[in-house]
Amino acid sequence: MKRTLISLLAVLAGLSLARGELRLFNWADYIPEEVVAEFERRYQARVIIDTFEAPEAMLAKLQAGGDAEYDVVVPPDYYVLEMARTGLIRSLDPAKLPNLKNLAPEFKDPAYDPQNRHSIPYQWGTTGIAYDAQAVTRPVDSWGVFFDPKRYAGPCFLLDEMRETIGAALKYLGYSLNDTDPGHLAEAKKVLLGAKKRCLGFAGGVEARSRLLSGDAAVVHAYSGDIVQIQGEAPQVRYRVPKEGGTIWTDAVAITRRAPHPELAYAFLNFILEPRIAAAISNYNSYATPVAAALPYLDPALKDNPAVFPPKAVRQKLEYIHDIGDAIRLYDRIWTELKSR
Amino acid sequence: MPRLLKLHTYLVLAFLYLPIAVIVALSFNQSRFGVRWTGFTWQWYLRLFHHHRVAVYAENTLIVAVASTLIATVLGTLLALGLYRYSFRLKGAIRFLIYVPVVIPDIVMGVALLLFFAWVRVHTGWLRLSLTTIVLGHVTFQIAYVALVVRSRLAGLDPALEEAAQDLGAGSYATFRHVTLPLILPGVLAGALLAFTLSLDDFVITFFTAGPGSTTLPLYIFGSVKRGVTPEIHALSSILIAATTVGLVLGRALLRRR
Repeated sequence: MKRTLISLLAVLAGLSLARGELRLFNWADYIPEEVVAEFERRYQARVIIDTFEAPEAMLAKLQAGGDAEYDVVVPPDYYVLEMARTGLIRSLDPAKLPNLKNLAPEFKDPAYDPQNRHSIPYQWGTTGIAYDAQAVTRPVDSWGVFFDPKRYAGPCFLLDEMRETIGAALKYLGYSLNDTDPGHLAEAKKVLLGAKKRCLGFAGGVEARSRLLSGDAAVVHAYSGDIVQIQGEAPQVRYRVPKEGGTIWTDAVAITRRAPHPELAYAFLNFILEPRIAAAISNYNSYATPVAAALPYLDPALKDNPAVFPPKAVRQKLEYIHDIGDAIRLYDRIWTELKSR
Repeated sequence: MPRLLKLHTYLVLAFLYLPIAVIVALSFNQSRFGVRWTGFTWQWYLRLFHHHRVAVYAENTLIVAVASTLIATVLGTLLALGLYRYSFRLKGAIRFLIYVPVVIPDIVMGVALLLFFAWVRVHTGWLRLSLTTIVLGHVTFQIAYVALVVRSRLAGLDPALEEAAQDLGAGSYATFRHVTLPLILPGVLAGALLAFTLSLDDFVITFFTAGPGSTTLPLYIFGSVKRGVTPEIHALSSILIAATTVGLVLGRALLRRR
């Protein structure tokens, strides 16, 4: 028994002593195995991946000392500046990232991180409306399917995400989804209360998708990637950004300030900006890639899909969710009332 | 009335086991995203076995389960023996304290351990969050379960057997080795299996005590939920359910053995 213990301890010690190691903190199932294997082969390194299920959990782990344990993290766009300000992630040296040139122009200077000073974009997508083309009773082109009784197109689900759902109501009313005007928010609350009565309730992205697939719902507020993934299996399911516009999100990749292996971390960031690698990541996730040079290697089902790469006219109506500071309390209050009524 | 009772029993069993049956069924479903049945397949299990990353998480889970079970079984058995054999001050208090890790909410235990490890780290530099801290966390609650199972076995022990051994000239070690231990062994093994299954699928305490590179299967499964549970995860869950069930059945069988 003693010997078993000693060998177990040796295994534990060995784990932490391995050289050429990159520690990646990522969403679960967000990077294809072959991409990781290729990186390990090329850089003679071992990649350790730990996963988080919510950005809040990621942030908490980093604040509890994880910023000195992990090399690379994958925060959502609206966390990047805050994490840079609190010193969790470092400023990037563009000289070490020659593949930045592969990025599409609109991702070379994104609103959430000007000039990619602290992060590079990983994947992006939109939020809009998913619907079953055979089940809806009238065309779906506006947030009105949720918020206007006259445009009701069938059983619906609202998204169980505060900023997304209140943002959709603001968009429907013609405001910015980062609006903090109490009057505008009161209007949004009114249409949301109406929508809640008409719809079947709130659902997370994946649950909403299952409800659509099982026929419980005809229209749901959804993330583009979740829907594109299933279109091969369920061609009757469509996705579109409403004419009033929707949310655009980007997941970013950053290096922690106290990263134990910063050189390998730079190599990794540069690696995922390579055209073939970026394409492999997108093909796996069914999300859009910010790497323009990757387009030739994308699956046609992705490249030519307006749900993945919306046309220019739609792109101009997309907005990032910003950190709105203390005004978030107004949102919180509306959200609580909405969910409890 | 008996018929009603029978119906009630079936309903309770269905309530308890239907969700598990659904998971197992979905792990054989061809459809990747739907909840509709489209055909039988083994492919998710095959894919799972070729998933290098999941193999690492499984390895972490097993290292933690084996190491923590070994430690907790030794400590828990000794604790039960001490309480059985000797009387001392505060014995009542200690007997009561054994129950605390069993009834305390996992989340309280998890947070307490996290704070404790952080405190030790600040003062000594030891106990960085890793597999080692997960093992320590699991041992804290496993000891209680092992001690309780072994105690129930000891309670049925005839003290005359130990006395007879001593009358025949066996020292206290020889008595323990040749008489007491063989008699309580089924209890010890049952306690160990219980501890093993508890460690295998523990989420809350693992979540708080895990560090970089120490993702276990339950942590991985939880992380996948938000991105959409794939049939690979159902397959993985089914395997975990099977492993836990086998452990429990073995434990019960051992405990019944006379």
